[in-house]
Amino acid sequence: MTKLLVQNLDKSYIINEGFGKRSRVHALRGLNLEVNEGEFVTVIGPSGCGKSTFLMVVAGIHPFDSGVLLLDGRPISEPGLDRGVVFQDFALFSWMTVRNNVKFGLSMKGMPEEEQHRISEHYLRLVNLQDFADVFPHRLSGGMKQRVGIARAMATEPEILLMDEPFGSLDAQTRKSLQTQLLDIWRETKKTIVFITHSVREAVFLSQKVVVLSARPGKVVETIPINLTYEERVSLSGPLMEYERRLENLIEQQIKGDASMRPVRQPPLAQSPDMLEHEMLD
Amino acid sequence: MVHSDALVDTEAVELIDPGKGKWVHYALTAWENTWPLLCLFVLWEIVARSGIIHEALFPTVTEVAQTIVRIFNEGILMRDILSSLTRVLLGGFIACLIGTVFGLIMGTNRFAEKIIVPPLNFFLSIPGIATFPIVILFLGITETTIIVTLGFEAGLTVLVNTWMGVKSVPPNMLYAGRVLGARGWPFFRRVLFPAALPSIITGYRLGFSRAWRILVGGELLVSIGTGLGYRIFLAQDFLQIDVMYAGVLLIGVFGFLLERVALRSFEVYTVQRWGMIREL
Repeated sequence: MTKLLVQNLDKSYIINEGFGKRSRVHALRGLNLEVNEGEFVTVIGPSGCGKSTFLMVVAGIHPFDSGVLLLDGRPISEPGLDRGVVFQDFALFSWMTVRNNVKFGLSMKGMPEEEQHRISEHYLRLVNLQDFADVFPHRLSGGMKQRVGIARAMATEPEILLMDEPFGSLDAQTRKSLQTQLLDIWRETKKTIVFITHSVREAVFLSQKVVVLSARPGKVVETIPINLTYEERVSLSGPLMEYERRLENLIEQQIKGDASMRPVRQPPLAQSPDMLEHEMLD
Repeated sequence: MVHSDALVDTEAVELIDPGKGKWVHYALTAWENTWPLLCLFVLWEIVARSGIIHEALFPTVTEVAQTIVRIFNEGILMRDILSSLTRVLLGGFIACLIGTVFGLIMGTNRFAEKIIVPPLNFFLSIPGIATFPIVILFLGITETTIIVTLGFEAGLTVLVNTWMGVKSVPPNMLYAGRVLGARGWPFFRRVLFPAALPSIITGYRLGFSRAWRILVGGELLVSIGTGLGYRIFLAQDFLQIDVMYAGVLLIGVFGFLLERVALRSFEVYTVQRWGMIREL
């Protein structure tokens, strides 16, 4: 069953450089994507391809120009509690304890206090932070902060979890540990997850489907289903490596295709046949 | 499940100071905050006694302290202090309230920002003192005149700081609030205000210091009959130099207390405890 449906999505935004200089950036053009219920989908692509922009559009924070964007068949136009978001920079409320961060969405729903407490306790246990419930976030390490971020996003029991490079700012070890924890959480809860990353390994390790975006303006180049068992993922097996190689090649092609990523100074092209032809015409 | 995070191991936390009790802590904090001032007073005393400056123009601290005790016993001082404090606190409090509300709106609403900025800059450059004669035309020689003028000027300062504070909140923090369902008043109170609080507190600091400055001029111009500022100018007329110094000293002391006791405690309890500003 389709959870999230994206058809022909166009998104551009205006950057104001000051003193009357403005430009329009085409971030996404004709993006198509379908995410099924309970599916873990990663979106990957060269940097600046609009992956994060895409997620913020789905979250309802940024408006889009045209296209179809449906969650459970309902159009998305503004932020809502049916979508949970995990941010790269955690975006925890530093003025609230860990527990109150997790409870925030619930209290906005107007849920009774005891129920808020019960649910927050459940999610704090899920990310193994029950002992840090009354601590302010600045006391936590990066990995712990992001676990609070995940608990906070999941506490409202959203239909879909949107994760914007959630482990991007963590060290390699913590990152590995959190990836495994997230995979476990997903296996346990069967939540629908859209996960943005620029790490091919992370994408293959976590998801059932990897969506490769082109360089800006972003559109889907290829969708690769990842058929790996849990054991094959955690043991970094041969088939996992095979997927990784395939995806890396694909992304490399995308980077080559993007003019802005090319080295500025080109090597002399005198030997190139079309160059010679050009000279002859002169 | 393997956790490589720090802070999980509680054995790593060692209590190095069991706490000497609240009152000892307060006494230490008080000492920490006053000794640099006391040094300054000692310096004043030495310079005054050395005779570099004529004693009639520059009395010693001890003389000024005796004057304070004398006029206190005469009964005028207490009334002056109370009326000045009431004006500053009332005007300042209203200024903080209105400045914060409008600052939050200005920092989130493009339309409000565009409308408020030009008049804001216009009024910011006008010293409150200059508007006293005009305000007197409407409100007369009253307490209200002083409080309104003082509140207006302090409020503008609070407004600018709140506005800038809101604008420098990381966008993801605001998005996080919105995706978790915060709208309207709960969004302002539980997300926007605390997120901008470090800068808002700076606004309150500057606002109150502006309030003190304008108060003194106001008490003179409005000639309201009470207040520390009024006392200073009255003493000038009678060439009571020690009373002039006493008034100036007291204004400094009360300003210092307001900042160090009220605002600083608020800051420690909020933004410092939340790790939003560094503890030095």
